[in-house]
Amino acid sequence: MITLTLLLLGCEISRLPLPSLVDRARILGVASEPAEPAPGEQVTLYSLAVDPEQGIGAVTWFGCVLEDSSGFGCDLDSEKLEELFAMDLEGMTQEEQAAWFEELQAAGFIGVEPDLPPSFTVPTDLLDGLSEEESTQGKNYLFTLSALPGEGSLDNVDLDAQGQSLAETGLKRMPVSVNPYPNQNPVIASLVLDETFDLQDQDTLTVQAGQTYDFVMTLTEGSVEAYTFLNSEGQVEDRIEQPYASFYSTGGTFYQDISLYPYLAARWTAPVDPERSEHNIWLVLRDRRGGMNWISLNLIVE
Amino acid sequence: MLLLLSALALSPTAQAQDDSASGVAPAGVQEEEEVLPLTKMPALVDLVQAPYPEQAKAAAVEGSVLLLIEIGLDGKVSTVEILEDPGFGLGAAAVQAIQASTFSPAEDANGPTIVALEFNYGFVLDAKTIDSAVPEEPPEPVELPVTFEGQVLELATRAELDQMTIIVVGTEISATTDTQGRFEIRGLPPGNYQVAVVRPGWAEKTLDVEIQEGLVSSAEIWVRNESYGQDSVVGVYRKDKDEITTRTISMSEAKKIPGTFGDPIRVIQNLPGAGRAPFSSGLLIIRGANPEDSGVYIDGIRIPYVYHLGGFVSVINPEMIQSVDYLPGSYGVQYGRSTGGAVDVTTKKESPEQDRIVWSTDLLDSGGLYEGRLGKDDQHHVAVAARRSYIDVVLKPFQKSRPFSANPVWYDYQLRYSYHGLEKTQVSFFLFGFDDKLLVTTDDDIAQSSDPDAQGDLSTHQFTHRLQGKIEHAFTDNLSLRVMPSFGVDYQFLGLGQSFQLEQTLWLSEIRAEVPWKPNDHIEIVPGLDLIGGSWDFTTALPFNPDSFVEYDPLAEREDFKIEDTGTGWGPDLYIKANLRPFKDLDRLYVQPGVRFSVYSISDQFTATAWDPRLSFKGRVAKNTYIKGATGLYTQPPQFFESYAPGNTEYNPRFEKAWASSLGIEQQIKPGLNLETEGFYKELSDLIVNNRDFQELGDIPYTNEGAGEIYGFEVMLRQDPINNVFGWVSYTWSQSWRQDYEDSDRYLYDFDQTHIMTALAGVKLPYQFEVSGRVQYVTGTPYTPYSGAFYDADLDSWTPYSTGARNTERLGAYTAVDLRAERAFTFKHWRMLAYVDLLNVYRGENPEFRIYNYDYTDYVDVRGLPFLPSPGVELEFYL
Repeated sequence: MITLTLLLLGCEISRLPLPSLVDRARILGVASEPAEPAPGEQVTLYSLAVDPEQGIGAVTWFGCVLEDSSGFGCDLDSEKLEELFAMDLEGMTQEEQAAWFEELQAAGFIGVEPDLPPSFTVPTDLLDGLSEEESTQGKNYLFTLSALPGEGSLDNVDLDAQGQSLAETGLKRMPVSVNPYPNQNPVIASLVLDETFDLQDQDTLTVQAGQTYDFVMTLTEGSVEAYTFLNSEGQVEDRIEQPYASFYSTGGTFYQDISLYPYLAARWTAPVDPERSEHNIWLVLRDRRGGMNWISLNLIVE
Repeated sequence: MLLLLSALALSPTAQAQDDSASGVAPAGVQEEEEVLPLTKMPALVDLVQAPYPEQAKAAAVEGSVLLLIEIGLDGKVSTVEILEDPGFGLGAAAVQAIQASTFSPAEDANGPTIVALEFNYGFVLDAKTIDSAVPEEPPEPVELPVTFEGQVLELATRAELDQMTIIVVGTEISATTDTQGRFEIRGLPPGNYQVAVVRPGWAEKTLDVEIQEGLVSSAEIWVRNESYGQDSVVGVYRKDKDEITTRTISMSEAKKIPGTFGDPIRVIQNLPGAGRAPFSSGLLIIRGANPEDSGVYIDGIRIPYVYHLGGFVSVINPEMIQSVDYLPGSYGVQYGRSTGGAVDVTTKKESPEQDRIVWSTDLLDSGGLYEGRLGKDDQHHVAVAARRSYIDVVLKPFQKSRPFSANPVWYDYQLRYSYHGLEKTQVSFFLFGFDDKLLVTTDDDIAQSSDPDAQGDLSTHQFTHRLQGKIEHAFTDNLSLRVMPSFGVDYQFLGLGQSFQLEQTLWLSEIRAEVPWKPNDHIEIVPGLDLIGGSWDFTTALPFNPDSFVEYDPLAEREDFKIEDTGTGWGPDLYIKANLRPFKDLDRLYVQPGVRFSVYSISDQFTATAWDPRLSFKGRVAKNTYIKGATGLYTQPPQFFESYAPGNTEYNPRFEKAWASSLGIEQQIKPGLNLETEGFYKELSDLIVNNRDFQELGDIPYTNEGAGEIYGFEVMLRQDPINNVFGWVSYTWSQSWRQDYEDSDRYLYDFDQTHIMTALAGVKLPYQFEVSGRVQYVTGTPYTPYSGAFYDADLDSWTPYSTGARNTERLGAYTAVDLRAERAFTFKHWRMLAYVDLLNVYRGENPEFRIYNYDYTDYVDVRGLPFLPSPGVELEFYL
């Protein structure tokens, strides 16, 4: 009866929307460059936030050290932030605006995509107090980001309660270390369709409704990094990354929405939807050490 | 020769009044008229002497004839009725004489009146007559010749049936079978007759018989049992039979209940106090207790689980089961180490007189049993049974389109031997085992999740093997000894891929011993020992260090973690109880006080002890009404996984406690129809819960901070299997609460089922058909709703959170209608039963648990079993 139970379980689950189907504001990928900075290093942050209906108006970024976080991300002082955001910047001098921004950063604010691209400098004292081995292993810095639906600009974002309920909020960790061989974001070398077509990021494809297509992702040499790990017994272990790919689309279905290295392949069946012909596919690669990369495809379904 | 007249037997006044009141008033007197007291009694004026009948005289017979006579207004006897007549013509002579006699009339306030009275007319011979009389030889009983003889046997079992009535239709001639089933009919004149064999509960059998002059006809008559097998009643539901309630459901009833798959152990899930096992898992949820808090025993020896994978089949062949004692609470001190209920399966110790083979096949498994007697002296009784599942093969085609395939496999076996050659000693051995494996596999290129450590096959494996002995010896009529040693192994394994493995092996030795001493019918003292001891070894392999879970970091490098350990432990429990029946009428009051001393010791870790005083009573307060009640302490040692604290020598958990009380009434409404109701309250304390301060291995993992309470009542109305119908309605209302820490909120427990109602009935139909049905309603399972979820970009998954209290909502109620239809085919040497269980005919949704979508914004309730027809066949051969 266990088998019957599992079969029934499979039937029931199939009635739920799949994570690969993007039908609302979603954060699909978050990356930093470099993927594993050292204290004091400048970091640029990226996100893959999408909303097939409205588009994304803004992605807000906040950061914090581990001690100021919980399992749900940064413990932000929302009252302080509201107070700062409510201030009238136009009436401030440049010095006052700089002081305001410093105060905002101190409260955890990092940036807003696309108007204020998030980047920041890793606190130089982040690893203070750690041993040399611990500093080499590193410590996480946390980001909390929110994707707000709107048409490409913060001005189009509905900031009232209803608008906020449509927002997607997420957590991202960024390892910070003094590792001489820090982790790198993986690099997608190619994405091949049906063993024939080599696809690039943001390519537009024309596909047949109801037709099934195979995507195979390959990585650049060195993307699957070898590294060392000092285990709890003081021994150095040689390890190799085990990346995996996640697949998302606004329509159609994936046979499996996750694929493990070395397969990194997806079988996708195009939707049969006479009312909508434009769709998107996103393939997001994670190296499990905080490194991330992705490819977006535009599809026209005939 | 002397004729003697007797005196009046009754006073005329009294006689006249009595007769009037009883409707034999004299003619002319209206019943509704007021009967006045007599002012003058009738008197005998002239008594005519009757001639002594020659027949009586010749036989020297004396005696008196009792007459009822009516004396008219003129004093003459108007009517005479013989009440008693010794025969030989005395009666007729007395009537003639009294009719010719004369009385003075009786009188009341209105003057002469008619009266009726009894009158003895006696006949006495003188000595000469007696001496000269030629005594008549009593007629020689005529031994009529046997004209028809035979034997009545039961179809299939070939049992010789006694007390069967053989009727020659159209005559008053009949006979009854003796203990060998034999009968004789004598003096049947030649001709053709129809003979019927009848007995309540058996199919009537008729046959044509020809009787020929000078010949004896004979027949071997085979009849079919149509009763619910009360002759071979096997207890299935018997609250502690030595204690406050004894109630039995026959094995034949148990096998007819739809949804039980013919398994008597599953019947308890239809009885008061027993909760519904989620997803038919077979978990024992008794009176709101955690399943692990209820004990399962085979012949008094505890086993880890009672059902195979999926919960549809118990781990022991039903044909090996003698009875199942279901003890929802208030049981005696002989059961310990549990704060919940208990289920004790008693196996058969004797084989039937006819050796037999039983083979059963259904959707899930097939199995066979042989039981019989070895040697010519019937002293060696053996039984062997085995069963294996094939559900994995049956369902394989249905899994082809699935990303996974599940392969459950189970088997069990039993071997029993008992020796019956000693007068005061009985010896038996029972070897049994059961094994359950589950393997869930996927292809290598199928990602089961984003976590590499979660890849690979999921497998579980558990088995139990036991060798049990039982020796019973009666030293005297008042003193006996029961010893039940046991040795065996329990094994459990859970593996996920290469990195996650839990493996545990327990080698267990147990001894149960009791020395019942019963000096008289009013008192019985039962001291006992319940000792368990053994060694264990386990391996826990994880793909991460559990310490890292305190600060969970999915990006952290994982390290394989493994703990291996061995150890020993034991629990020498002692108990003593008294069965007291203080009144001469032993059934009037029964009281059982008892106390149990429990020890739980893990070598080099800790030792915990507990005292469990308990008291129960049952008293008859009216002819068919009993009141029963109990109160007592029930303690339970930590579970195995709660007993282990690596690296911590301070860990010293205590027994969990439950003070349980109950009070109830049993009422026989009419023969065969019984009503029982019982209320219960259980206060839980010292429950073992996670230590909130646990940070890393070496910290104390659990504390005894938990508490709770369970209360409710049960009602059961039961129709015994009479007139081919049986059934019952049971209802349980209960609430089960828990509070993990003193400063935390209490919550409805995960297994709380407030309303549990079961109604079932079965009826035998003609032509060996039988149908039964069951309706169940159970309150839905409590759950904690999520308030939202947070996206973790590193894991590409959402983490839910709740802002409300625990278990504040419930899944939808469980409603199910199950049916069963069967047809028996009975032959001389074997019989076959073909049946189909139709589960969830009502097609209720029956949510079992809730599954959320990836971001916890949507969900589906995973339903229980859909409509499922489950056919099966059972063959029984008598050798």
